[in-house]
Amino acid sequence: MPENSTKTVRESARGLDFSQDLAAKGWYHSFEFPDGSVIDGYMPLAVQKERYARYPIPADLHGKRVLDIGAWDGWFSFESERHGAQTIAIDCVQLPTFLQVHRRLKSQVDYRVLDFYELPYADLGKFEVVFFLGILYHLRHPLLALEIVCALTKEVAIVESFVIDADTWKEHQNQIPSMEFYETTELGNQFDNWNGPTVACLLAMCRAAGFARVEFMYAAGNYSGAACFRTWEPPPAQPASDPPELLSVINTRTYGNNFSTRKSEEYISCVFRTARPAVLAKDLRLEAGPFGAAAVQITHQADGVWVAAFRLPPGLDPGWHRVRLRLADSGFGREFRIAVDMPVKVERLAVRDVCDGITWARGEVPAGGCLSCWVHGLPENCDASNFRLLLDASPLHISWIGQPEPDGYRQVNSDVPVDLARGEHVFTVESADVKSEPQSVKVL
Amino acid sequence: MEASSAREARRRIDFSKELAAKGWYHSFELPDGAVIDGFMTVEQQKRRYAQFPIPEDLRGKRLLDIGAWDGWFSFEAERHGAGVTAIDCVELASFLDIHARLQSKVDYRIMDLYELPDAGLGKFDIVFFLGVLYHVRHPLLALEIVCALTKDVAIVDSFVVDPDDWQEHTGEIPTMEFYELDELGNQFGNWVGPTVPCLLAMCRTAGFARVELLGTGDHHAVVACYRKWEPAPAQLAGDAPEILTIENARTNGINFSTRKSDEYLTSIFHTGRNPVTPGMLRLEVNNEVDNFGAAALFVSPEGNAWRATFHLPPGLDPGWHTARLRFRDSGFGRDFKIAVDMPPQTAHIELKEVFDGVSWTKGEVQVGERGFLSCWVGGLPENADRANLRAFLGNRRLDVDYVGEPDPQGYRQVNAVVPGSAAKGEHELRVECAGVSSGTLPLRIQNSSR
Repeated sequence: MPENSTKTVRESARGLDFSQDLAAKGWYHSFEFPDGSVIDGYMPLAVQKERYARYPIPADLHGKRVLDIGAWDGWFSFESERHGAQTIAIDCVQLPTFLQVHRRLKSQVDYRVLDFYELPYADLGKFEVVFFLGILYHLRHPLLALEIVCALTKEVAIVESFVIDADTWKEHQNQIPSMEFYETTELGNQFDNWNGPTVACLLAMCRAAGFARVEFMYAAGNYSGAACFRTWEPPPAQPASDPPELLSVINTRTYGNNFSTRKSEEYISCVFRTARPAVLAKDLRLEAGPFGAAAVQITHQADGVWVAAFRLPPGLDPGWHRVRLRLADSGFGREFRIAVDMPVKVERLAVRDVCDGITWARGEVPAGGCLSCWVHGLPENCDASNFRLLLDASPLHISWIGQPEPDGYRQVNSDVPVDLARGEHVFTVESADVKSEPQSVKVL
Repeated sequence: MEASSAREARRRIDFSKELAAKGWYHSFELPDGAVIDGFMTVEQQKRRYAQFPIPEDLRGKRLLDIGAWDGWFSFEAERHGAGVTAIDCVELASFLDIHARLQSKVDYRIMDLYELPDAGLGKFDIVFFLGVLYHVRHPLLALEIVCALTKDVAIVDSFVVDPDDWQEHTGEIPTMEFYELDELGNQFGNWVGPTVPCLLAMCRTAGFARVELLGTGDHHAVVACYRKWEPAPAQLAGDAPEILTIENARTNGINFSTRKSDEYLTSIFHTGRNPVTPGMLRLEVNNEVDNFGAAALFVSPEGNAWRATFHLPPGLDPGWHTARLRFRDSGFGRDFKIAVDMPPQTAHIELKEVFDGVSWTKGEVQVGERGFLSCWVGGLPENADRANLRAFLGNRRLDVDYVGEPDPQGYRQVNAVVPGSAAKGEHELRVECAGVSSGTLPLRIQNSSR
């Protein structure tokens, strides 16, 4: 019995081969031209229109930029242009069919031939709307592909993909999402199909890629579609609860306020206080710059203080970004700032008042104690991971960095190791290859 | 019911409490007799190491340990004589502690896995990729990166979902579970759970020539992934394949890009053998330094010949390489040269003369359904090919279907197809390569007399 059922599964996957029908038609998409002439492709015009009508995008796309990834004959590109969008269509090979329709419609769609993974470096800018229709399962790295799509999207990405359980997915919603991996021609006898996710897996990957909200659109036949939003729904006009009080916002990897979009996993950790007795991840609405992020983890620390982790939203531009948090039914509370892909720039570092952080005695500190000092010239985006306090060659653990005082100096507290040798040490502050004037500190 | 019990089973794969209690993942026996008792025992570690098909003496070998954790495997490889580089995504005090106590020379670096290709570390005879695959978001990309860094063998050890019963479903399509949050072992940072067949399929797809399962157990599978073919048998069968071409499947040219996500070699060859299956073929790509094998993905008859398609082996250095093909039990057929990541370059292109490719009439081409032109071109870059050499009849781009070897004067024959729809009469022909255009030659298009 296992052998038999296995064979059926393999054969039914191979049976999804429409290459002969496609070759007979010559076109994948169908078209209706202003002069009344028609191109009859593999996909009926009515189906294309039905798909397009399902997408939660405005009927009027004037002023919007649309990216159509893997445009094929281009019906969806030209349809969005007809709705007023400024559209860029990309494909991995140049299709004469696309060019033919482009000419006949006198279209302004910008058609480019690129490898999918070249997209982040193609300087196309960002798009309010991205179409990612029937491409995902052709790519070797599906989650990376969705991250790339997410980083290019400002409002919504429409993701449609082949799925393996369009008709049965509701029956096993409690299972762990999974995907099939096609090494060669297992799917549809075609070589360039790489994966077949379940509906649940498709939705999970869209969320894991970094979209704030993922809405299931449909599953039918061998396909499923999801609308993936970069922003949260608007906050309630009448908030039902108080905003959470954000206490700190740090990078989980470095504990600092700098974030890198080049790291494959970069998370924002938020500590917040709320009077609400229970908070679930799905109650939280983080906003970092223009984008929303969903919580991936939440733990209760103590007495109404919670810690939640959020994936850094893909596609943030270099610079400072506002971070704020609300609950589903509250407004936003206090704001923090994070620095994204900002170089550490330092010209000169000056230090005053190196002292024992408890007694404020100048120039001395007990081993195992706390050393405080005031530093001038630190970059605005300094954090514990991009500058160092050194006693001789030993870096001290930085426990606190204050805001600049009126004279520009910032208080920095650090811990002195218990096993540090007693006596005179040379104290310096170092950041971005700039060092302060050395001064002497006595360890007691 | 069944689904929720599978969920429960995944959650139970959680050793974080034992690990926290021990403080160490690896165990160590230090030369001064001191012992560190980690989550994994020294015996387990030694048993795993002994399973790896690598030489006892690693002197002169470079070894990369990706995700070294406390570092036992790095230090063990060093003890066997290897020059070891260990990387991890965070700096672990435990690794540094052992490093200092062993006075180790292991080069320890902190980087993201995906930063490895640009880290300038060079290639390694041996790569350890132990217990890392399921922690990465893009498993196949990770294996491609590992493959490109490996010269001989990579040891891939990963969590798998079916270590004990995988042989019962080898006929099924391979699958992997996707963990959005903490479904596996209650830990965030686990992303995929492949079946054993899926792990093997991904290792093959990443570009290794040969992939061998070493063993399974305890939620893990261990795989040896080889970049080279086994040595040819001592007694070779006489009939090497008669190779007509080895070229880029995407462009039909001789240039290849390691930056394309899917880049394939295709070969057309004659042989008396029938049928030809992928398992019979051994493609090899080598330069002076490296020698990588590639497995055939599929083979199909093409006229009275055969066509086989192969992954471009990952990690090829820029420059010229030789591609050659043999049967498992034969010698190699003829060599073909391929150019990897070489931008074509030239200062000047000369279009000398053009003929009808069938009748050899100078300056004109007879066109019926289509026609053929042959021209002789000087100054072409050595890696000019059908894809980067363009021919234009007026503004119309022609399909170049042949670029010959240079004659003694350095001119190369270039053939192109003239479509039947080309207007009859006088035209201007020119060719272009590497952003440089030749001058034009007049070419008369005539109706085919046939």
